[in-house]
Amino acid sequence: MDRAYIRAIDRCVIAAASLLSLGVCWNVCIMNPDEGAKVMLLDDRSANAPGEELISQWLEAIRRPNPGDYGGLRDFRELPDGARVEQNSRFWSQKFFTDAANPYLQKPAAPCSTHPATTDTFDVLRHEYDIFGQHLIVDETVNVILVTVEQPLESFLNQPEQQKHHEINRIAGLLLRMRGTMVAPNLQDAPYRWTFRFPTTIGNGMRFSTNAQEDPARMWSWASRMDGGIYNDRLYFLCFKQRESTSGKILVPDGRHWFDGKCWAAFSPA
Amino acid sequence: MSGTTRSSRRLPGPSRTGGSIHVSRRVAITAIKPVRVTFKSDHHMMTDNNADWTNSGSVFPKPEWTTRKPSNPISHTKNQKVEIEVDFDVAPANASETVGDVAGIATFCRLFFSASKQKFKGGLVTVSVRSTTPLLDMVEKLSGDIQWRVTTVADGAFDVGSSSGHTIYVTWDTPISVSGHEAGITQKRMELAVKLVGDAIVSAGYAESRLVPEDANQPVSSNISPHWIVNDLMRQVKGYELVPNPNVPAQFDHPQYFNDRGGAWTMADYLSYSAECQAIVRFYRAVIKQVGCPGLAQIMAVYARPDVDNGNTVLEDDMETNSASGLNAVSPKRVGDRSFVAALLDKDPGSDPGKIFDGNRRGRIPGIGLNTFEACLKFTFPEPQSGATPEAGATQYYAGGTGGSVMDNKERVIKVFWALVWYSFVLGQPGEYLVKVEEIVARYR
Repeated sequence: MDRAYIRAIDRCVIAAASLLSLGVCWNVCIMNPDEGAKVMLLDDRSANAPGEELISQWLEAIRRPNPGDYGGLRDFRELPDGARVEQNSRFWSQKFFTDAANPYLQKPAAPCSTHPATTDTFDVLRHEYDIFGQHLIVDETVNVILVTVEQPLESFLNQPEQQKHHEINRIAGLLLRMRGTMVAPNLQDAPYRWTFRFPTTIGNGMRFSTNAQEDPARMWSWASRMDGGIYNDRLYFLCFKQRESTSGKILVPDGRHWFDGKCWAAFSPA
Repeated sequence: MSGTTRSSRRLPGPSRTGGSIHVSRRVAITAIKPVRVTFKSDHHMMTDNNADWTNSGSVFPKPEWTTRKPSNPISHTKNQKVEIEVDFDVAPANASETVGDVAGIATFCRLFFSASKQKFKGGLVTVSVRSTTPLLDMVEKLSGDIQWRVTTVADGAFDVGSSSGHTIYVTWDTPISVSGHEAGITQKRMELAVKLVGDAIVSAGYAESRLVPEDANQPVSSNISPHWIVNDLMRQVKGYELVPNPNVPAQFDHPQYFNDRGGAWTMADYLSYSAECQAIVRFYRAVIKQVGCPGLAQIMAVYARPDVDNGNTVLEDDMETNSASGLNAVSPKRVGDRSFVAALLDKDPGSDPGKIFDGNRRGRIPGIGLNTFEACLKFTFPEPQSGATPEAGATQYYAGGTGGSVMDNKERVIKVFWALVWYSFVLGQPGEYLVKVEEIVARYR
């Protein structure tokens, strides 16, 4: 399917979902340890717009390179800031993936390749491997991890919606830590649980979220939001590498300068 | 009858019964040895984990010292007398009772223990002794032996030997286990805290000319304000850090230090790589509380809100008691179909709104830093009574990672920022994070 067409659908569906969601309650899936699962009612999705634009731009930039644009990576030291890239990638992989699906825990080791940024693409680290009978492509930038289940979904998309929900949740649960611990704004550990809020109909080009209200650039934590969607007949999940905002600084590092480390220079003390 | 021996020898002369007189002959004490030493005035809170920074291990058991075993360390409040219970093995087992004085001399400080008119007889004798003088008014680590001497009325004096290998961590007061990831009193933490605070007292003492002039090695910490200690500690980290450093193992979660390996305590091994302000504050708060340093230490988020006095009233949140701190708790503002978000800027946005900046601070558009609050240590000493207002000058704000920047009120803290603004997101080129300053709500510089 034509990429521009997919992008257009993506945006239209997001807009449509926004309209549909008016008057609909959205779950904030952060559990209060004292009260169990706590549901907070949100009625204003206006904050979505900047976040949705940013996410769409990120996804487009990640998907822009062709497979042939990737080159194999044998050792992170091949990258200018390789030690930091490796630590960063391992840290977030441990955070988001179940142990079984963690690209760094695969045996044999999952092949790794890189795509160096251009003016309209990012530095992307790619792991490709099979797990649970699925072929995964894990594309990682300094801001996100995009997990694509590389298996066409033609039959899946014809299933009843409930069946789709069940299947998406099942696969997400196999691959990702759908519940765990985060650092709450009070600086204490607190449990989180991701639960997708699905649109009425799931189809190609659609994206859904655990908390579409959150702006990925401003949200408190990586646990505040996780997205999923269907793109090119493939199921994908999108995790945001947003450290808990305990510094008071808003950090959105430049995805074009992950491998050379220059993306961090902006956040060093003067 | 214990301690006497019935003689079979018949003494001359008549007995009351007309028979022989049997008398008891005194058995002299031939040896006295300390076999157990138990400290009675210590805190008995410290666990034996000296291997890593985790809050693990078991509280050191008592007695601290037994024969042929190294002594367990203790923590003890400074400027207080030390009370010890010593078990002596008195030989022979049937030695007759006598009265004696016990003296102990600590080799590691000017500490003398004494107890007079104690009963000694064969077997195990327990004596409670107390130091004749208090520990020095100093936070420090003391290590060494205590030489014991028992002088009996009937059997003379005995140099009974030493109890060896004692370690006393002399603290300001009873250790306080802070909340959160740094909770717990362990030997490794105590060792570090005593060193850091002890050095800070000396440093602050010299700096403030409060050392006892006749003996520069004995600063009197009562003359030292906890503020000076906090100030000295906080200036040890020259700058904050927002970016993980690959030289710090990932499990420690640099620079935030939210880990299960001891939280911010683990940054002790990586101080040169600095940390986030809140982590620096958590670390030094844990340090001073480990040795019972008085004062209220809070991790504060200082900020202003557009909807509170147009940003002209400076606000603060105790981060550990708020569900959302700073501008994280301020909802975006809808203007038509657009969404404005509040932020504190660390650069001058110019005189008029409308300018576009890059939140990444690099590239083709001028950069700017967006903030939701400034994190700092709010330290209050003396602590006011519950609900009361602190004394003038009792509260200071120490910004983490600024090399010792101290401010006496939050109105000065907010001046680290240029302005409070509403901004909107502008989609730029991939990699940019562009924001447009829509309204300048308040200026601080």
